[in-house]
Amino acid sequence: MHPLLETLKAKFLDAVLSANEDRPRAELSVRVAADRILDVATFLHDDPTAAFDHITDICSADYPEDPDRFEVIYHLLSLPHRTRIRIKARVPEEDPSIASVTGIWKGANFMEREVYDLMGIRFTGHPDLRRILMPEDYDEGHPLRKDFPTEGRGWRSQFEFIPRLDEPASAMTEGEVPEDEKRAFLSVDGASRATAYRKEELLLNMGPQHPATHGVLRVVLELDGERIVKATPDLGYLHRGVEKLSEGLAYMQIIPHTDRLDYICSMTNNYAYVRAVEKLLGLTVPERAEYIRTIVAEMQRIIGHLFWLGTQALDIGAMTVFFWTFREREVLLDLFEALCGARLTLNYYRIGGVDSDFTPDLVSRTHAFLDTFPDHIREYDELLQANRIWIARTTKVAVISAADAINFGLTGPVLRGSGVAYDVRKLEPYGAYDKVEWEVPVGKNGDTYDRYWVRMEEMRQSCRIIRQCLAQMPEGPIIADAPQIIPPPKEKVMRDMESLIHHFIIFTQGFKPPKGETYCATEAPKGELGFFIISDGSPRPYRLKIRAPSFVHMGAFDHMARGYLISDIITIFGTYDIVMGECDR
Amino acid sequence: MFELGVKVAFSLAQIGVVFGIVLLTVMFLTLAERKVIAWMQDRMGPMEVGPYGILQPIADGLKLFFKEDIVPAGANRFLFSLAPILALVPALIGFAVIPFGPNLTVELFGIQFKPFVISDVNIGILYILAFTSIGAYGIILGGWASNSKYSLLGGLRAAAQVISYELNVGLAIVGVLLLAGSLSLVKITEAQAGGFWHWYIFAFPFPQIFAFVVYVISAVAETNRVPFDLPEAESELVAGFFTEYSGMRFAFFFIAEYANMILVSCIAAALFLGGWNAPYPGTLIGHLGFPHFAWIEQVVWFAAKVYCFLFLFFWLRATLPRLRYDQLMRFGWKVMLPIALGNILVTSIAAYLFPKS
Repeated sequence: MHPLLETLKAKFLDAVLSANEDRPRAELSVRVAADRILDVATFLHDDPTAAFDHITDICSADYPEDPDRFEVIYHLLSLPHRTRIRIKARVPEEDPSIASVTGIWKGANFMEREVYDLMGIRFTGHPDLRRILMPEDYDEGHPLRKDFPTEGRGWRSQFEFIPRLDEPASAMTEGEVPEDEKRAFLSVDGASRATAYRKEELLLNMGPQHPATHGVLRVVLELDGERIVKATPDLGYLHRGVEKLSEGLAYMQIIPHTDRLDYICSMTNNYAYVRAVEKLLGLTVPERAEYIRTIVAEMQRIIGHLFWLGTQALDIGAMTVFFWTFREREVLLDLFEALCGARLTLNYYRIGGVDSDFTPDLVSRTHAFLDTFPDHIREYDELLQANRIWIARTTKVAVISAADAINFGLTGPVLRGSGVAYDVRKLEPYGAYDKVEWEVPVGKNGDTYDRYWVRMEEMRQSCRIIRQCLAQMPEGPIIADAPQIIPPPKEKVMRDMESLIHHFIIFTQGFKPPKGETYCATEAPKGELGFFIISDGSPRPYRLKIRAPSFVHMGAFDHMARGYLISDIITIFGTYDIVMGECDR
Repeated sequence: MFELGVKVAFSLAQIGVVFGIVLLTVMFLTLAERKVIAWMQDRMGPMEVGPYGILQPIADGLKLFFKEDIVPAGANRFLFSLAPILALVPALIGFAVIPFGPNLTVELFGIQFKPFVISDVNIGILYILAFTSIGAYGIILGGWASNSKYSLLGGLRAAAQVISYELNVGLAIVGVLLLAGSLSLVKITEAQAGGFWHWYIFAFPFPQIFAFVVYVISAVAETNRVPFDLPEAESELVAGFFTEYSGMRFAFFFIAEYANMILVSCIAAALFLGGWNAPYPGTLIGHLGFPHFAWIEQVVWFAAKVYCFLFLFFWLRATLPRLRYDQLMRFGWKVMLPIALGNILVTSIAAYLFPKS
């Protein structure tokens, strides 16, 4: 047994109910008593032999038959020891409450709010336990509970919180927003403020309709002049309940839904999902498929970063960069179109491989792109890195220290900008990343400029990876040979009776993975995109949790925005590289 | 009585022509801006209305004209309607003293006229500075009267910005005034005749190149153009002070912005770049023996200078990101102001040591 589990068992005799090491998947999971969660969490965070400084995710599962109905699941990561652990605690239906770990990991704030919102588990000691994805006044219950129907309760038009479109709108008067509605967005309570000294706060509602909020993000800013006193993100405008939907879909049918999470980088979402399912199944992917996956994922990373660069520059006011990056993005999208026929929602990865092969023509076109792309990056640098206004707008803006960034659970370029060289591709190599040479760029100061630099450098590294992959790519099949899971090729289905039956069975019944659970992290352009799947042995996932980097990053928004100016809010939106489709799921 | 009638008729005609040219330029400036920036950004710009999108401004104008006129709830109706006018009128009225061509005098019915300047007042530049300051009221009132927080923030930014940069515009001009010894734009331009080395940007005894740079930067800031477009910073304040404006009122602000661009370009051309004077002594047409038609060349030179300047505005917009509020203020007060003051000091010493003969 893993030494860490031994220590835990020895130290918390009464608290640790069971400890389990899943060797083939290299995962540790511990079940603890709910009332001792804080002790265990404090130990795991503080003890140098454990040092779980990074909170990856908090999620929940519902087992209606069980006396302790709800399970709260914490995913922790130790950056010094490079280990992950899963802590589980059960709470009963009558009193679904558990101590909040926000005091230990600040990033737990948003994650616990999500669990509260979707599963109805109360976290005692949480500073601001409100709904986060569903509307504030949603009183239909908690959607992720198993007794909540997937199609929802009642009709959309009958919900009270949705404005009625068939009735004339009530005239907007200049009436003030009621005090208690404002409270959530103010740094100090209204009453105590008035007694201290007369000071009028200005609440500015930014979004969900705003030119620079990258979709439908709403942030309520408390302002002192132009300076931000408190920034409260309000999420959920794009919440589509993908996790709930997935519980009713066969494993293969979920892939198109992942396209629509981070719609800028669908390939990476596909990749993250199929990797999680493959890990659950214990499926090995042919080598050529691994190379193609790596190449395509890196192309997608370039697209994601180009999109980020364009929008960040546009937010700060440099319009030209936006169009130039879209020019290069267009080339890559054309390649995607040649590869799989789609440009935005690609649905290209398959469980056990990929959908179509890399043709020689595609290889030469990719080479042609790689030959010109470094020059284009230089062009962007000439417009931005050599520009004093750009430097002034990005340096020392939205600074987050390495310790804070880890504590908030940040990942990806946002974390690496603060100088933490955490990259899933290096920590737990997958695809062909361990077979090619590349480096993880890290920043120093954790400001917007460093994050900008990290992403620019990552694009160059992606080019390197693609180039080496193209050179090394072996011949061979592009999808695993596992007839239980993978349908036969389409051309055979049309001619061969056996294949037709095989195809029919897989598509009507799906495949049944073994009972179990697994968490699988993938390095998406935005950060660590993780899929946590609980399988009960049926063809549909019992619970599918998406660990979306954008959502976790929004948890640190207030911390990063305080004290800066309104103009910097825009910079912070840009530097996070958030996509609301992924954030709200 | 007849004399007065002719005078009024001629003045009205002159005003009509200048007004028409300015509005036409504004119209096609919007198209030119979109086209130029599009080419810089590797795209084509408007292509649908008319050949190569030439009629786009007309389509835009018609669209704005037919848009619903919305006054937001809780807005101060009077000031909300007044603000666009307050922004537009000062921008157009400044053209009254701009000399578009040589200082000729034409005699008609025994009365003398100057065809290329509506009114050659001897305090021309002061008149323009005074009126453009009123334009700031339009922006501030528009921002305040909209009853919107974004507009208010935009208006506040505009107030601070226009005031601090207007100071720099004024101080940058002082050097030229010292050398020319006049406030009349016609006289200032006349003093720069005889080749580009007489233009005040290069002129002996002290080239006003620093003043010119300060003027250009401040002019960009005063017209709220990139990189100083904070009052209407799209990504931050939606549209700043005119967030709540629609239809013709919006068009008024829009025209005012472009008219202001043309106005500051005209002033720059007249004060620093020799106005209607060609960069060589005399005029080509004059040297060829048609001195009566020399004015054509001179008007073309003036227009060319103005358009070069306008192109600079577009170029800046395609290149530079936006400054932040505090950076803008710091730059204005801590960098530009000392340069402008230093320029005045040195120029006055130079002007004292080398008095005009």
